[in-house]
Amino acid sequence: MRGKTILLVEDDRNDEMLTIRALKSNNISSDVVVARDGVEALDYLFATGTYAGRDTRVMPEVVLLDLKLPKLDGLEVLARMRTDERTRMLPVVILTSSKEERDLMDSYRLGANSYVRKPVDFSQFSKAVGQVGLYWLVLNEAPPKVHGRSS
Amino acid sequence: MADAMAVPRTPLRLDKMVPLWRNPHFLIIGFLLILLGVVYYANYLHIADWAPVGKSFFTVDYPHDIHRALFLIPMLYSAAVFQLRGATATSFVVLCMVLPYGFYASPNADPTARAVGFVVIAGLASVLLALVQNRRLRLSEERDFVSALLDTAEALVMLLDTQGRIVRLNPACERATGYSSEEAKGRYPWDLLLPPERAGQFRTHFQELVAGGPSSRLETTFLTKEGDRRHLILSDTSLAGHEGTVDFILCTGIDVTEEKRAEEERLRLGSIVESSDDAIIGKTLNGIIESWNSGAERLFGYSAEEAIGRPISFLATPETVHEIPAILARIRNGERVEHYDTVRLKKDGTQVNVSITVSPVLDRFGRIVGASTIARDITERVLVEEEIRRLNEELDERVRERTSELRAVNKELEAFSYSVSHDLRAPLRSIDGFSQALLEDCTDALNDQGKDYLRRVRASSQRMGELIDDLLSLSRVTRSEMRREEIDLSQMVKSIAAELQKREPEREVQFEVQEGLTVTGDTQLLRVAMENLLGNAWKFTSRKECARIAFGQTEYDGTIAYFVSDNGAGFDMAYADKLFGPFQRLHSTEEFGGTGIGLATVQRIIHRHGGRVWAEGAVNRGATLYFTL
Repeated sequence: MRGKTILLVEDDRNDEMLTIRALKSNNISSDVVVARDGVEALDYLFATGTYAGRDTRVMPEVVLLDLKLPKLDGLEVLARMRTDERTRMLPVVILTSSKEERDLMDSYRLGANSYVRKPVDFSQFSKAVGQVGLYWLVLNEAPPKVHGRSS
Repeated sequence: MADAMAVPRTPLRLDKMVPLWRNPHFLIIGFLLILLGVVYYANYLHIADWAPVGKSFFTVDYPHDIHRALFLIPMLYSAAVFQLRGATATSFVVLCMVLPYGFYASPNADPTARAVGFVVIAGLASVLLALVQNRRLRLSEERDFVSALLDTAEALVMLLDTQGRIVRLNPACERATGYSSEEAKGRYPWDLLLPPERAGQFRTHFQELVAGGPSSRLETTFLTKEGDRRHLILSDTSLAGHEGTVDFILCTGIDVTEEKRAEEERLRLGSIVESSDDAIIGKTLNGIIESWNSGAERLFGYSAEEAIGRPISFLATPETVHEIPAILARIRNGERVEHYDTVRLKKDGTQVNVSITVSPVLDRFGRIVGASTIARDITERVLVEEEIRRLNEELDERVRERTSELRAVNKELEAFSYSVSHDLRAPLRSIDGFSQALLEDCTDALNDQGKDYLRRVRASSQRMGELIDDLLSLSRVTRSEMRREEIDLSQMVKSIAAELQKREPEREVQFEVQEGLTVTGDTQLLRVAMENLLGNAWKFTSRKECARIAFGQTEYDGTIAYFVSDNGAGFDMAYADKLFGPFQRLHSTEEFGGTGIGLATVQRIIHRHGGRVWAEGAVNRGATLYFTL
């Protein structure tokens, strides 16, 4: 699984640590790129802002996207991703605390590939993250790489 | 009127007198005279001395008395057939007895002379008779005329004799009473025609007439053969013979039943109109007021004298006066104007809100001859309507305010729940996660007590997570939209039961589900409610060996109620009302798990469906949760 990247969009440091810990404890050793808000996530994906000059041909294998984020929230990030050719087919897993019907509906409507609720119980949380990683990084066949028109 | 009363003209027969020689009685008298003349001439009576006897009136003189008696035969006959009576008859007979002497025609010895004398004198008597005869004929002609008149007259005519017996009824009377003249003949009118209470009055009246009282009018009632009661105005007169004695009583009546009924109807209608609270105004097609009831006096303040003769437009306000010609035009077209709300002026100058209905008035030929206006004071109604409108507007305004307030509150609540949903759980996850990390990574640094503490920290944070989730689902129950549809509750219960069984396959629980119970409600919400109810039953029977859970329908206070009952731990009825409060628990968490939100959720769902939920139970004897929808 080396060489595969996960983009984790998470503003909560604790959750970030716990997620990475969960990934690790499930033997998923991919690179985890962390974006702390929606803007940073988009910067990374589209190689703008602090990530200017990044090769956009290299895209993460999966995006773990929290919904409640500073600046741009997760749904907006998702919407922007789905309008751009380069990220249109990128797998996005919503990883969030809420199970509000509204959030579920909006996420799927905007093209989320999966919706996982973070349980309070860390054991369960760890299990869930592990399964997500396993599924999207190992089992799932990613779409063919799109060669973005990088500037 | 002349047309209506026209009687078909009957030919007067006074000018068609029967000639004397064609009167059969007269011929018989002539025949008798000739017969007796022959008796004298043939000298059939062998009387010794027919010699003349001077003028001894009063001496009994056998042959002369026979002569006079013979003389009397035709005379009495004629008196009888021509109905000479009383003084006329007496004087005639005396005349006949005296005549032979007067003319010295007393028995002559010579039979020829006797015969000639008899016939000549009897001839003279005939002339006398003829005069009487003539008068009699005239009288009979008059009677023919009268009967023709009676036969065709519309008036009811009844002829009574002096005893009061009916002699005849005219056809109009026959038609009116239902009796034929033949049937009635000889009966007394007070037996036959008059109702008992009127009989005495008529009898008295009749006797006055017979005794020569003046003809008079009498209003009475009579009964027809069928028993109908009809009103009659009688005008009675006595018919005297030409001798001046009362022969007959002629009762002439006019059947006024219809008029009387019409009159009564008119009075009744009149009193209705008069007693009406509404103003009822009659007017011509030009709008001139013709009638004005007391309701109109009360409504407009004008008396009938003030109003009648004035144009109806004097009641209109300057703003509404244009309505009058339009209304009258519609009336002339035969249309009705119904419940037209407008404003009119009262005498004191104030305005009054009225609802008017104007209808054409028709005469008996269906021609529109006027209009009737019924006006009702609706000031009060208008005020009430305005008040209602005002209140409604106020209410609308208040509802709008409340709605927007509610909407704001709801929005806030939603934002709050959303925030809780996202933010409140994150720290818990950290507490739990790092406690776990601590346990895993620093297990050597912790003694058993420290590990136990950390496990307690984790357990508490997990429980808090559950509480948050339940709270959110409770608030979702309140916030979510209702979609009513037909639901097979029995089916739903069975599927939930199957799920529960699947979750804990090791438990043996007997489910009794009444089949075919369908209700109308929101599927999702009712499922949450049923899940909670059955979940409770499942939970509280966990310590029973033969757990039994039943679902069914029953009747409670006349309404259909559904129930979920179990034979589990039950509860103390003293706390029954606490069951439905959020976070209310009657058992410790150690005994039975749960957050205490379940029944609060059930109650909210049932309330949202307009139903009621309550519980019955006893400690260790199970519980039954009832609800209506």
